[in-house]
Amino acid sequence: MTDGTPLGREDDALAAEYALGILQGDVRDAFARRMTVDAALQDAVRRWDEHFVAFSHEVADVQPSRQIETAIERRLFGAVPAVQPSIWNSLGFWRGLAVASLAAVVTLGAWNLRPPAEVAGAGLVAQVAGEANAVKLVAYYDEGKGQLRLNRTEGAAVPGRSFELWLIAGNDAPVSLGLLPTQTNGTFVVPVNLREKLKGGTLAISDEPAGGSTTGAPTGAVLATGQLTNV
Amino acid sequence: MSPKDIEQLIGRVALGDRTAFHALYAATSAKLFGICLRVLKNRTDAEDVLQEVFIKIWHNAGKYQVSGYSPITWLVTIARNQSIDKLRARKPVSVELDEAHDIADRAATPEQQVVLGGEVARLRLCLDKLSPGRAEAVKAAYMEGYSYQELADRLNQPLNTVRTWLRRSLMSLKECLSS
Repeated sequence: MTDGTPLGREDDALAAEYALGILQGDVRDAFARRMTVDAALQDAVRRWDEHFVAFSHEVADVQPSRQIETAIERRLFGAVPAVQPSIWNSLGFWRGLAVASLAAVVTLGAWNLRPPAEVAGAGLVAQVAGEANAVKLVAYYDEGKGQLRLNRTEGAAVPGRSFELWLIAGNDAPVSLGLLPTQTNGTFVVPVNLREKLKGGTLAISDEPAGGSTTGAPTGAVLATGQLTNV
Repeated sequence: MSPKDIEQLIGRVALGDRTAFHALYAATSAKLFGICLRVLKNRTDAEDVLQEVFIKIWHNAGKYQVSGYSPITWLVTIARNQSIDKLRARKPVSVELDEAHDIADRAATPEQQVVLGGEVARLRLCLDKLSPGRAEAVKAAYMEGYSYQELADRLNQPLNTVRTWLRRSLMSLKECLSS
């Protein structure tokens, strides 16, 4: 606990007491309110939380009743949705397309005497969807060309807003791949440094001001997500 | 599941990924429920709070990355704060005795010892340096969610006296933990 802005003695003690959970009534409420706008207090509490968490590892795990998760999902998402059948059709379409292009490349390869290794792992697909179907698309990544082809099947940005496409790879922060075109089909050339990150990565679409996020990170609601998997 | 895996799930939950939310629940609900139950000592209350905890996780996952918290601490802190809020808000209730076997302390498994070794050992070492009885009070406050009033009642000492020495203990602890 050597970094961060130095706090006064009183705040220092309050931060420790708050993290320990020993405060009550107005004192606890007032500190919690101050903390929401004071980064130094948040920081002090966080450092205590990181220390005290060691106590929690001595508490035995207990399984909650099965219906708790259902109750949570019902509160968050309403009725639990059925699997949308269209996903298979759409993915099937892209799989078919990939196999067709693979066949074409193989023929071409034979013609040009190219080594077949080049066509291994032809691409990735993702069904990008979210609640309320605000926007929905199927993405196919053509590894050979480094191109991401999109086919938007539902939803469009409202006038004055744009849909922005993001790649989330592992623990990395989302990286913008660009704005969705207004027409339903589009092709993105994926920057070389991101190509390796697509496999297993997640595509996400956020609602942004016209022209896209100006901060480099999603600023609006994330409307749809989908993981890229092998064809 | 490693902290890195948990972190990745939180990242996906931030993007509205329900599959990741389901996986995060499967991986962490028993631990978080254990904490809620330990503080609240009442299964119904603890299950209500667990719902609030996961609803909060869903809504606040986007803030996780900038919070500076390690993933487990972030989750545990949400569970504890939510439990303490409930505890402070409710009138005293009788403890369900049949829960007693559920809320016993347990020793960390050898695997956890390795993972947690550093932080746990450090806290333990620094607690050991406090005056006799003070470490137990700090631990009891955390584990049972005692307020100053409850702690004072249990120790049969005036509240202000308890607060004075507990604060002093916390500051000694801070000095030790940062050295």
